[in-house]
Amino acid sequence: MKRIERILKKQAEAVLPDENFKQSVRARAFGDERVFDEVREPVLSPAAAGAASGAATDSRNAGRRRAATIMLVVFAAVVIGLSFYFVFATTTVTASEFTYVSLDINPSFALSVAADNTVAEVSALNADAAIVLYGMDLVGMPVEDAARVIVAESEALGFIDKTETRTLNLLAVNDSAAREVEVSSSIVGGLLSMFSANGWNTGVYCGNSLSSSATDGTRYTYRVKDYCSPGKSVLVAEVSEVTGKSLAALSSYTADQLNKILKQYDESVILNVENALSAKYEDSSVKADADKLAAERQSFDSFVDSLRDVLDALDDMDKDEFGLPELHGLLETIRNDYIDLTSTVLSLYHEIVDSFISGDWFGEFFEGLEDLFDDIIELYEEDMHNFAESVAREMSDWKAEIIEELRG
Amino acid sequence: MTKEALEKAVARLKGGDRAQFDVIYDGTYKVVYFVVHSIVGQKEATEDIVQDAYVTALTRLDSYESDNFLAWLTTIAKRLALNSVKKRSREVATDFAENESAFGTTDPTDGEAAGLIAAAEKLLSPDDFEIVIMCAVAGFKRREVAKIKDMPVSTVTHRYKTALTKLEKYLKGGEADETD
Repeated sequence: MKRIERILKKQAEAVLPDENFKQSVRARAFGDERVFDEVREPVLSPAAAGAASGAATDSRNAGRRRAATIMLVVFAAVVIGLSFYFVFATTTVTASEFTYVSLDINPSFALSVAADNTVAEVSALNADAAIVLYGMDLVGMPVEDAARVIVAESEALGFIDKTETRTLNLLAVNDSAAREVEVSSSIVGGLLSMFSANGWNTGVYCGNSLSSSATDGTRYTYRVKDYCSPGKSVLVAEVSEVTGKSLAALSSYTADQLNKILKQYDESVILNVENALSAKYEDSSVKADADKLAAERQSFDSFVDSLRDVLDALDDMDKDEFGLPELHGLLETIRNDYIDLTSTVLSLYHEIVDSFISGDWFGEFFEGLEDLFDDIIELYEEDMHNFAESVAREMSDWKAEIIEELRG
Repeated sequence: MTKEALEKAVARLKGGDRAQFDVIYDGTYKVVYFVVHSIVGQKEATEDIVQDAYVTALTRLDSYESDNFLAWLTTIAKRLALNSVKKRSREVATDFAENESAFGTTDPTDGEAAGLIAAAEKLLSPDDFEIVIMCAVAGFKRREVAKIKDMPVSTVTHRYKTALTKLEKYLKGGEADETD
């Protein structure tokens, strides 16, 4: 059965429409003209070149007068084609794989965001940011969630006073202007809803909104140099103002390099803070709890895997070959220190088997077991979540003490 | 994605949160695509109808008041697919052999929906095919499928297993032919 399911899934994935199809459905549904993956910039139209060469080939066998006429037409076509090239013609530019995001609270952070909107890398650009990020694992998290976690931790450590009216700065940089707007809008939306839900007087200043009129279909309306994206243009202009370097020279720098110049990034300062934190962390009580949480997470994953294995094994069995001995055998394979499942599963089994005079008791038992496992996983997850929250709070308190020590 | 999560996303979209479109599309497009493909057969025509189905559903979202969005969406998609097939059958000659592409393919080795998927379209009843796609391809749990199809869980389980058994036999037959 599993083999058939695997084959069906694999064959289905091969014929299903791709992400671009979703974008075009969305564009039609909402009248949204933005297309994120393919954007256009100037180049000679190959169709015009093909038409011109085709016309020239045809003219070889014509009489002189006719040939002259054709050549005139070809010449005119070339002139029109070239005019078209200089005025309208476009080529495809793809969005860069990763989007660079600068988040400036006062602690300053840089995030690299993958095409699926998850965090690929996060780094501290100053000492305060190194303290905020210490002990956090944000890689793989949706970027709007990661931004919320960073901001919440910054508030917990006293870097943000939520009663004070202030703004955080945000800027996204990608080759594609549309992608810059997409990523920055998603983060801004996530942060504003968090502020609104918790009554913070905090706002977000998004550098990309400065260049919202720039779209990928045209030359950028605001640019330092041709084809330098609007987000990067903001960084280039700011760095040029601080350093006095020319815009043309700075446009060849990466967004990360430009932001580090702006933030006066000093790697040794970050390393010193991280080393000091690591030394203190080793002897702290928070480490013991964090280790316990990590072990608990492993145990949870193993538990969930073993429940899935039981369902898979059961799915491959026939009704006629299944009974209490087989059920006991399956239950023994569950890796679990969390809850005693045996009595619950056995009572479910008896409840269903004893009440069925005819019909598909096996299918009903399977679904009952699936429901039971789901409920237990949900319960376990909730306990884990509460434990993780208490460890995070403990970690924040510990970091706050370290900040006091470092300042003292 | 669960049925509850889908309904929540639909409610949010109705409230104006356009970002929910992605959630709804990702949770439904596999089922919608194959339901339409099983009726019209061709990839291009299927994609056109899938687009139309989403646009129609979103245009009429205000009138959606039940709690079974996937069933509602697939009903729209099926109706559009059947209309399209009827329209084409009026427009072209009805000799299947001469106009195979217009009617979809029945050959399980067809490149557009290769092998087992094409066989499932051919061998299974529309309801069973839908159950197979929902469980095996779209990843819905059987109890979710039972709610969506308004059937008892045991019926879904039985029909799903029977359908997979049919496909397994089909596959074994094909493999036996290859070894002969």
